[in-house]
Amino acid sequence: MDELIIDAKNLKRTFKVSQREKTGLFSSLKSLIIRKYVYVEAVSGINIQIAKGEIRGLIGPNGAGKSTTIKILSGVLHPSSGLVKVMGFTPWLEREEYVRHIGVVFGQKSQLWWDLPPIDTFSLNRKMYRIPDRVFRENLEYFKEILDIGNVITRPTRQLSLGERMKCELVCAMLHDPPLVFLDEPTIGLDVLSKDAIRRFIKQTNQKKRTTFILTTHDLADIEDLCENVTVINKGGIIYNGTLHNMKSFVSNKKTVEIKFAKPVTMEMLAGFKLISFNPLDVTVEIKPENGSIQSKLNQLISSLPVRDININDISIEEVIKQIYTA
Amino acid sequence: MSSFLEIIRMHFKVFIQYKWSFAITLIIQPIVLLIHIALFTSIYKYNHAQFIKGYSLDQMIWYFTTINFIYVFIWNFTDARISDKILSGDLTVDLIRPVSLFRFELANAIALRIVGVLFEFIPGIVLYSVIFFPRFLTIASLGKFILLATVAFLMYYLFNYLLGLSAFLIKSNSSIINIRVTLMSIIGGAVIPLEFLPDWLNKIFDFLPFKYMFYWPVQFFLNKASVSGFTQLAYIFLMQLLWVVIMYLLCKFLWRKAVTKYGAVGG
Repeated sequence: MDELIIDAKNLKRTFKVSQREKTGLFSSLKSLIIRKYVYVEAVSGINIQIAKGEIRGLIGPNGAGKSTTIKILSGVLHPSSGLVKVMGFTPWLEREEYVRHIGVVFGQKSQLWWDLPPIDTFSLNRKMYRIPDRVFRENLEYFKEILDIGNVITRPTRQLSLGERMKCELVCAMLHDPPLVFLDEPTIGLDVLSKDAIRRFIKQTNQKKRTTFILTTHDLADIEDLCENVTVINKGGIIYNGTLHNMKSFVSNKKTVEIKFAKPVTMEMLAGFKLISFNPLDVTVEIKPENGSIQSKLNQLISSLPVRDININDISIEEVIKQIYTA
Repeated sequence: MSSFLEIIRMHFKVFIQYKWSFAITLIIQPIVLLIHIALFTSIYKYNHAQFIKGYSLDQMIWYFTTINFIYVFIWNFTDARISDKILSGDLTVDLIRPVSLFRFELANAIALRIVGVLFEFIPGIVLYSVIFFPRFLTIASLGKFILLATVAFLMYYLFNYLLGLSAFLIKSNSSIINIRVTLMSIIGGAVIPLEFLPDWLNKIFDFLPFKYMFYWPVQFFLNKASVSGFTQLAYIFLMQLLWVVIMYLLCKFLWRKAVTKYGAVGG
């Protein structure tokens, strides 16, 4: 394996959450005096190793612990226990010095100053991160061109569209040439073109500057486009870690078969097949090769039913993810 | 240091957009001043008094205007800002900056007060002097006031920052903030001059920081005979510094405890 940039062992973070069983005024008054707390483990024993120059995708359902993991790795949250070394730093202990070496974008939060144009935030960052003038100018030119934000950065942030703002957030996170960048849902709520621009930007920067990216997303196209390796997190733990390609076989080697019929069929005629969707003229079934050869199953279909057209597909990445999430 | 100045400049740019809301006191304060003139002129006349509790008529009338100046020098919203950041989870953004929250918020407070001094204090002192001339005022007493008011600004910032840290534990500190304003202005002498309160109470107040934020700087502005010497100035100044050091150390200590409690809510 290449040189590690992140090495995290057995990360845990527990939150104390107050709980009220009933709604209504009485129970909220009661909660002033007696309050029940439950301890929720947002992250329970995560191990993660990331190599330099990698683009790693973190995926998982809402509330799985992705953001908590990113926040611990970026120094924002203190973990309850666990060991982390990122470029020699323990993020939350040496936060002020550590954050000089990373870039962070939280899709739900804004680093830009609301009342001022992004260019003002950029020049503040130049001072805060002590970016040399030449580097600052070169980077800004590069970002302006690749993200097409030349005439955006001088308008007040509050007047920018979400996509324009997100592009500027990326610039904010990367002006100081950090070797490691965390992106927490950077494409949330963006249109196809903006998403494309951001992906292109990540890809090119990764190639040009060997920047390591760690991104969480719910858009699988982001992952398919950018990441070789994915880490799937669910219920505070890692349930898959490896290449995107292998993830499909990790679930199982299923195929979906779409069949169009010349004459209407009934469900009974398809007994023995796992139906995904059913219309009298149009049926999708799932076939597991290990339960018998595909050949015999297909033979059975074609010989006994009025098949007009047939399509055999690999199971979609969405299906795979759905299965992993609900597993 | 240059990044600190740059943060002040950024906040200044934001606040300067709202300069007219600062100047609003220039409309309200003259009315308050006129009421005080009417009130105290008749009180002094009725009592045939030159001085009441050591204040001449001019000094008594200006006491409350000077309190207003103190607020112009020290006021900030750091406690509420920190509480909001914790409730909304926006503190996350502060924590990815290579600057401590302490310095970032201090820059915010400084910029806020620079705009305040430019648009409230400077035109204010001219305007109110036209309405009722402060015969007691000298360049030296004004200079002493500005010095002590500047340190009072630091004290008030530190105090507010400490209150803000309480939000790490109790999330919303708005109730504490409300009590603080009332208590601080009574104990500090912003409601009535402390001479009107019993001696034993004043002795207790001596052990609290608020007197050094309001009462004492005002005494120097009013050029009271009791504070004419250099030793008084040095004493008050050193007491202020002592409070600054105590509260600063507390801030450092509590921040380290508090930040481990941060939950980073909201995405």
